[in-house]
Amino acid sequence: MARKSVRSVAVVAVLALVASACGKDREAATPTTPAPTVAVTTVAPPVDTDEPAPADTATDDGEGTTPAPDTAPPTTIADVAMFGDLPWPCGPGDGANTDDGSEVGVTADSVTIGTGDDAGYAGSPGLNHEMTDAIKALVAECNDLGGINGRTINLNYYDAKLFEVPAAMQSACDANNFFLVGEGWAFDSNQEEIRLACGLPAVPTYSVSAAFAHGANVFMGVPNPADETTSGMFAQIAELFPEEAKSVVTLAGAFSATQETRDKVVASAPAFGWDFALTTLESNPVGEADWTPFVKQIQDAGATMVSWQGTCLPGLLLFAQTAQVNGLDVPIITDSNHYAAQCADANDGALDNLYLRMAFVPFEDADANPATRDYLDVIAERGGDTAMLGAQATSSFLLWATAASACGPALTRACVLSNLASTNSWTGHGLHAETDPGGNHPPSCSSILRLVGNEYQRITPPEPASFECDDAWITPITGTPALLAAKLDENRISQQFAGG
Amino acid sequence: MQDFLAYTVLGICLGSVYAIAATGLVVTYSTSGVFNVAHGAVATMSALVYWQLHTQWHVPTAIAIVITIGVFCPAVGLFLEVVVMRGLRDTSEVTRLVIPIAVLLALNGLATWIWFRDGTRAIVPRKFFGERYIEVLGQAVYYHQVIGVMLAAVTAGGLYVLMFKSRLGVTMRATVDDRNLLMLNGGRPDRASMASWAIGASLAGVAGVLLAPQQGALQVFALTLLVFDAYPAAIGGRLRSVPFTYVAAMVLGLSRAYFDWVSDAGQNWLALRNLRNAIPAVLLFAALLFLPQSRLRGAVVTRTRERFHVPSWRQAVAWGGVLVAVVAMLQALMVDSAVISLANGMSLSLLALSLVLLTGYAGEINLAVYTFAGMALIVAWQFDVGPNGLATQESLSVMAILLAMVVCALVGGLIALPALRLRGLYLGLATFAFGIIVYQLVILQTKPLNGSIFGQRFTINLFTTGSLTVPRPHWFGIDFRDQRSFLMLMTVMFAVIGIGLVQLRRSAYGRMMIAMKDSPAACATLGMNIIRVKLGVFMLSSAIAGLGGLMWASQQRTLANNNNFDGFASLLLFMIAVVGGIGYVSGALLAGIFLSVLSVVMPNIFDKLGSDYPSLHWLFVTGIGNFTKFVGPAIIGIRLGRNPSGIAQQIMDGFRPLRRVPVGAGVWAAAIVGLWALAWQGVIGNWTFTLVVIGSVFVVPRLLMNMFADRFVGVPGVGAGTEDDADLIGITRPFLGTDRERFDRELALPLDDRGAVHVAP
Repeated sequence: MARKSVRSVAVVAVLALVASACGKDREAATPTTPAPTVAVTTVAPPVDTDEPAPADTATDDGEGTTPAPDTAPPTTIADVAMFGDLPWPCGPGDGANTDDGSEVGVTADSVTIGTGDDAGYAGSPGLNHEMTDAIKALVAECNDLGGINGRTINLNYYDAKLFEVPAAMQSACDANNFFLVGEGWAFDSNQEEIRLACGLPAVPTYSVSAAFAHGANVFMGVPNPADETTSGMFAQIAELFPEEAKSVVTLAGAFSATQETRDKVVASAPAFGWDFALTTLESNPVGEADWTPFVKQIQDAGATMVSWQGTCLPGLLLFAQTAQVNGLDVPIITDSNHYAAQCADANDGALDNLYLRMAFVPFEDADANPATRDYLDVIAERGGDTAMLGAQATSSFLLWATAASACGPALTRACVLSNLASTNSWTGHGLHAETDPGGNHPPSCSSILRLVGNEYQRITPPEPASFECDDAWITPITGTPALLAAKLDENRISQQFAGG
Repeated sequence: MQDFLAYTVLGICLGSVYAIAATGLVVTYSTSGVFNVAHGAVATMSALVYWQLHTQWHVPTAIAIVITIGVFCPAVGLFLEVVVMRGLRDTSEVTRLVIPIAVLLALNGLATWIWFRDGTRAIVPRKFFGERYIEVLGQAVYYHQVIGVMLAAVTAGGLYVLMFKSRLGVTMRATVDDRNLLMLNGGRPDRASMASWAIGASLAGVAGVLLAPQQGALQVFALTLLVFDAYPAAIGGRLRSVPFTYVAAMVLGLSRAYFDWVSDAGQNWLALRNLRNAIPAVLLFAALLFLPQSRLRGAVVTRTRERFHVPSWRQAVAWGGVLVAVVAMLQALMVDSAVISLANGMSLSLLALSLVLLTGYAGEINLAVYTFAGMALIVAWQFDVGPNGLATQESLSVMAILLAMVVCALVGGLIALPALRLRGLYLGLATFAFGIIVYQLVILQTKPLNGSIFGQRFTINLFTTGSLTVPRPHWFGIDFRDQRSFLMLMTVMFAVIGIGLVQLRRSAYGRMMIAMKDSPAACATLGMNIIRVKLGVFMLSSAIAGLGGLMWASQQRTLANNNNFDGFASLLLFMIAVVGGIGYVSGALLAGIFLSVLSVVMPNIFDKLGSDYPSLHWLFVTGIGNFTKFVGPAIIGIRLGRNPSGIAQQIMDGFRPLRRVPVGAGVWAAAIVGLWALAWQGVIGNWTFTLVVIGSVFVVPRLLMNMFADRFVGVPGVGAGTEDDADLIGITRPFLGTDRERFDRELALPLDDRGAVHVAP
């Protein structure tokens, strides 16, 4: 109803920001290939007959879904179905699944998982439904391949409608789900107490709150911890714009999540050659009647670059138009939440100065990247909408499925969690830059895109589906309000909602 | 100097937009007496229609404008006047505020349903003449803005001429002043109000089409909100003068521009940074306080259609007990997630109780209930948790609750004090402005406030991280982190406070409240100290809002600073409480349950039906489900015009006659309890239980009335040949003993045994 507008703006902002982790190096990764440790080696063959299709081979000739070694008979299931550069972590198993009835949500021939989004939010219907579209398509595809080691996946869906997160989480607890997989609820700190109380592990698409990003038994395809940030973009931008980076102004929406992103930028960018002229400008996240005062402030500060934290529509579009009219012509640097078809479509030229960082391979590179192609194909085949958040959901589902399949006949939460914890290199089968889900570290890689006209163009590095990487590009963050509130223990697990 | 000129230009451009929006409001109000809160929603709808025509269907600009402003908008205006607003005659100020709120929600819901139902879409309206601009005094100004400035001036001038120089204008103004006199003089008031609504809607359309490109991507609520910012201009024009409105709009636009100039867009005083967003609210509050207000039409209306019965003390206690028992029985059948929904509803009911006292009993309006909830939770969090505590491991202490209630009462008193002379709509707008000011300056404040009193340094943490987690109580050895226990705690609280309120209503103080509601002038004549009553009611109601708000926060556990504090949620709660029956404790109960069940649970049910029966998906989800989700509550609000006393009263009226067949009613109740026991034991399913109980509600009363028809002779609406209109009793039919009983009840006089005596007709 009414109230929602405001929040929809804000929330979309958060959501989008969440997706803003940074890239992996596809290039660097290709030769050595990620080999999501446990997962790949033990699970990779969704097939008991074939040779375990090493990840390398898969990547090398990775031209699509079915590399189908020509020796193998073309029976449907026995083929090594590929998703991206790795085989699907799904298959019929050997039929020896055990079920002592002690494991929540698991039987000998089925496993029940939950997912969810905020699509029922009346202020912004269908909010982030692309995640659920992806999970539904993947579950269907996975079941067709035989399921998790022969166990059919039953999928429960929970709509948190933005503000009903506690009830949604309680429903997920009541329904005896084995795991939450690929879900994303914007107000995820509201769910943590209930989730911890019922002991439900999660492999979510994204996290907003530090409490959930560092939650117990939470692993993500692309982690977004509160105590670290990916700073590759700052180095890359400083290289592209060495002079402009010497006088940067930040302009953030006055909203806690965007403010936190701004704080991270201000804390980590100077180490890479950025100097800030002004870091206190904040706009009204609900909308500004006129952006000229901000343009004037930026001009008065003598800024040569703008670091923007907010949403593309409507804020950035209007700001950029106003800047153009008032003669402010500087690069605008922002996050991957600005990678969206509607943002590109809305560009009338004012947004041509937009540079954004990506941790995912952009859809434009789908022809050069099997995983991206497969994601788009799966959604096209099964129905649904695509978005970066959908690709992110795909990564988390594959991460979970890989860890679960690796447990073989005895599928337990403990086993899956242990597999997840030891997965220290993960690219979502090539969907994104390498991350460390087990260690809860963001990617140390990045790529830069620029919006030109209605298209995103790759700037750095130039090769399609590639990233630049450097271990020094993960910057520790300390002392932010969000981090302090999360109360991390020595294992970086949040104690904010630990039971009394 | 250059900057000064540049910001002046910006201010005038902004002011012109406000002027167009505000003059439309003034036209409608000054000719119909309804403050059209839905003005912004009409503007939004028009902007979308224009976009649909122009951008989607490629209709040429001029034709699209004519269709939007000249055809669509007047049609909406006429529709609103004829179908909705005409029914508002002789209703209270409260009802006339609530209906436009409902219309606003309905229009916004409809716009979302039509244009944004699939979520991912972006609607980007373009400026007239695109990005072309000219330089005025060194400042770049879009052609689009120039059009706005010119239109504002032309509109203001044209309206002035229309209202004061044309025959239609005179008729329109006469309609408000004295409808009957106008009719005696051969005027046609209905036609005049229709004209004024059509013109008002067209002005809203102009504002919408002009504003939408300046909003970038069109967002339904953001655009509606922008029109809210024009309220101070309308109030500045005292809701009747178009020229003054125009001037006030310029003052508003220039204030915003100059504030940005002196504060460097908010950077110079970081703690007051958000003041730039609150300037319209500050000016609105100031205008309401300091400008002399014309007498509100509402004060003239002496007879309104709202009627509220007052239950006796024993009835109140009995019903309180029944409530606790029913909730206890229900929760035993429910799954945990349903218990959460019910508990959410109960917490909102507690919050709505504050409105029963303030609005239902005393006739005052508070459109910032959640603001008090926000303040209460900041106080309690500071007291019980603090930046180093862990909310999940703390108990919500009685001290913290009392402290929060005291703070809320004091703040409530503080706003009431200057607002004492305000009434009805003006008071509502003042509280709304107050809510926005607190939201922008306190709740969105992420910096801890440091200060010192008598050399003692202190730090108050507001929403430092953007959200706060509130502890649950741990009292009497019960850990209320358990959802079921907490539900029962809130139910008991609701029952106790509700009984207290009924008792208060029956006291001398309660009669003073009612007297004040009915006629402040008469009270003053009789020597009653209205100020004390008003202040007392405001403080007590604020304290209840604080308590209810704290329980709501504790139920939610973690609250983000943008969750419900922005003013809209308070409007919705107010609307639903009035719909539920603002004069009754049970109305507050219904409101809370309604908010949590109708908007949350019902769509779930339809989604479930839709996925269970895919072939009927279009019916359950696309049709009924979306209807409930987007416009359901609003439609129910709009229907309030038909029965301004609320749903609670309708329900009670339906059951009241059953007191005449106590045995039958008792058997029915016992049967339900029996069924519950079966459901509890799992003998029958919960669905069976629910359906049977709901079905019996429709069947049993009618059955009993037919079986014992003789006992219902002369009962309004039940017995044959009765007449409900009190004025006509004795004329159309003889006066009965039951009528005296009814009058006694209506007048809240104690019933004695005479009331039960049947006088033979």
